[in-house]
Amino acid sequence: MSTHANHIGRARELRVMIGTLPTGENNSITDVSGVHVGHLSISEGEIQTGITVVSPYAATDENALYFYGKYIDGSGGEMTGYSVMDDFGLLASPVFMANLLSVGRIYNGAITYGFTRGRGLSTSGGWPPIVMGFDDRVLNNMTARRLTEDHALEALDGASSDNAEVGNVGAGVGAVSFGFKGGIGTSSRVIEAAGKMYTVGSLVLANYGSYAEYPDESEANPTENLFPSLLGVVATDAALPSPVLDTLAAGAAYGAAQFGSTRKPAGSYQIVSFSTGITVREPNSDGIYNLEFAPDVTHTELRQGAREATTGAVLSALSAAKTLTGSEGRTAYSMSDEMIGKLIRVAND
Amino acid sequence: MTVGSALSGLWAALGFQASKARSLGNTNLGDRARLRELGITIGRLPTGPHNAITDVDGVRVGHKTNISGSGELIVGEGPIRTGVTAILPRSGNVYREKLPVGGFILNGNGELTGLLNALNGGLLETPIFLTGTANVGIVYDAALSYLLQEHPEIGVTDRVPVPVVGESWDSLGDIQGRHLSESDVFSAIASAADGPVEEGAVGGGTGMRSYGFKSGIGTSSRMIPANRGAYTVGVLVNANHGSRHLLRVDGVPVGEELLQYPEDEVKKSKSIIIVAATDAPLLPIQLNRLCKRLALGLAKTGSVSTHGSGDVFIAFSTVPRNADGNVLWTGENVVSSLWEAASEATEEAVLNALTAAHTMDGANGSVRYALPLDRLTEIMKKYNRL
Repeated sequence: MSTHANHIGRARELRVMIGTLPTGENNSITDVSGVHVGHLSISEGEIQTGITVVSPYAATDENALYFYGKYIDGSGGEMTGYSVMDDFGLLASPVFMANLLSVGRIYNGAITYGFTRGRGLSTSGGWPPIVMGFDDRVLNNMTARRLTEDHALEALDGASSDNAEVGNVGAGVGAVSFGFKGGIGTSSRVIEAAGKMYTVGSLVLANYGSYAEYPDESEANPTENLFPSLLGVVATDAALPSPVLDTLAAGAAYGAAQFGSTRKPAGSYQIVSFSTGITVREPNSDGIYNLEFAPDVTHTELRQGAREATTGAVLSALSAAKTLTGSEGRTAYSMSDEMIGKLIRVAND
Repeated sequence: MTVGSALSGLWAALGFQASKARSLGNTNLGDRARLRELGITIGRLPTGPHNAITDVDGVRVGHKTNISGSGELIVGEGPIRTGVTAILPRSGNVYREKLPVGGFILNGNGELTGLLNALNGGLLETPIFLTGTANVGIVYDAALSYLLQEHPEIGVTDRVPVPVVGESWDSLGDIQGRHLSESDVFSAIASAADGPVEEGAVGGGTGMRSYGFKSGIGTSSRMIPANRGAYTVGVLVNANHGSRHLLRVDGVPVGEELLQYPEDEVKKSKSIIIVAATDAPLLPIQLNRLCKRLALGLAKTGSVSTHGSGDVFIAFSTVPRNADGNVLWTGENVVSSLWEAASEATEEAVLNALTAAHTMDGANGSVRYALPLDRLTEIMKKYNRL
């Protein structure tokens, strides 16, 4: 595929092809059936922050369990709900992204939500809350702690199955990536295996990467993010068990790392994956669940899809993010077209 | 007359000696006791001076207990049976001088925030909090408020720490109402002290239930021999796990002997969070290993770690890096003694939670009965263990 790097305005608008697999209809994680995405954004002077939430089901769906996986590289961030994800891999928690000083409040909002799904706070009713924390202090007065429990519920209430917003939105409002303005990005891929089509989608918070990765390409003033991280959610409609979903999450990390994450400060990766292709409700009368998983031959391509979609998601975040001035007058500039072109070449290298 | 007192009258008529239900939790031991005071000892290693996690130098524990109201459950009002326990891991500043930490998930159906960060980074940087399931967000947020007060540079020039908050389902009161405030968390921190630790239905253990009896916070410690370094291992549990028939005390099937003893009906009452501390210089990976021995000590009290139980453990060493920035390490030659100490202390801490906790009433006239100490000693004698 041609990248037309010299002519691009914005990679996303021109549907620049990253990798080899075709994208889904809207090139968004919401191409995966069932996935709901919501953003709550605050952009007022010193306060440049927000919440992003990704859920495998609609708020009105009945309680059921979904298979989850995860990939974590590096410490310093937070991912609540880790024990259930790690040990059971079977839960139904919306995945929240918010700055590290707001994690408790977002968690409490998610508890309130959990009680609306049942007084027992069960794993099929959205407990335990999964809240991934990141640092947006470059542009946001993080210690003001503006986000509240209600904001978490607002983000969840606003979640929709066709949201494909990117850039300075939700958790991405104050994001800084590779020395430039980062944000929320999303992309999807479709694979065909064993005679069926499957979709895999990725949503990232691009708040990672050092300016030192691409120092020669910029004429703008870089703004280094000294506490960087990449948060991601991978969703697929292929019915997969948790260990395979772990590999999709790892594939997503490779996709994000394609742009380099070896220069200091490199940042940590926290990625949650889930499948909407199988919902666990009541067992048959004999007490046995009859689970029809996607055939094993799909795994390699789905992992490739997760990787490509995540590379594309990062590019969409960086392409869409607009120059923003925030806390203490610090400005993160939108990446230049030349720089985006360079990244597209890197992605397709 | 509450339903609970009617039932306890019925049981009394049938010959059971249920401890008198108290409408409000009394946190001094009164007619309750620690296991050793009943003449029952676990294992062979000596305890520290207070037989508590605070025997590990620098470790302090504080509780804030919220108990009020009785009768019908009204969401947002009460009755209130909840609280928070704070474990301060060292006398110095844990955010500035972090401590080696490890963890182990025996059964994942629980929350212990900061676990991932601890496991990946191997460093403990905040106090450890134990509370009710629904309060985790409140406690996490309050912990950050506390840390921001202590360290205004957090989030400005310095990294944001990840608080460690463990939960269990405190089913005795109005869980949904989340009757715990930021100032309650500050109170628990402010009251943290070394020396004896209050046990039973206090702090984060206020609404808990274990093996069908009233339970809560329990603690114990062990010292290993001088030729092994004379180190101390201290354990503190918030015990809310297990069914009646499983309970074993020093190997004796006490639960089976007390199957007819009154028990409140609770559909969901599970989980145990175990916190261990040691002054032995251990690497994070060794602290992970120590945590597995907490599970073995727990198993001796009868737990099979049921599906719904959040059995998540964390252990830290109070030995930070030395002045040269080097990591001190005991080597592998003493760890087996530490494992024995960890197992023994856990077994006794769980049992202390049961022997210390008072009978307590809860929402809708329910009564959660304490393990009857007179029956316990009778049974231990019957099995020639006393």
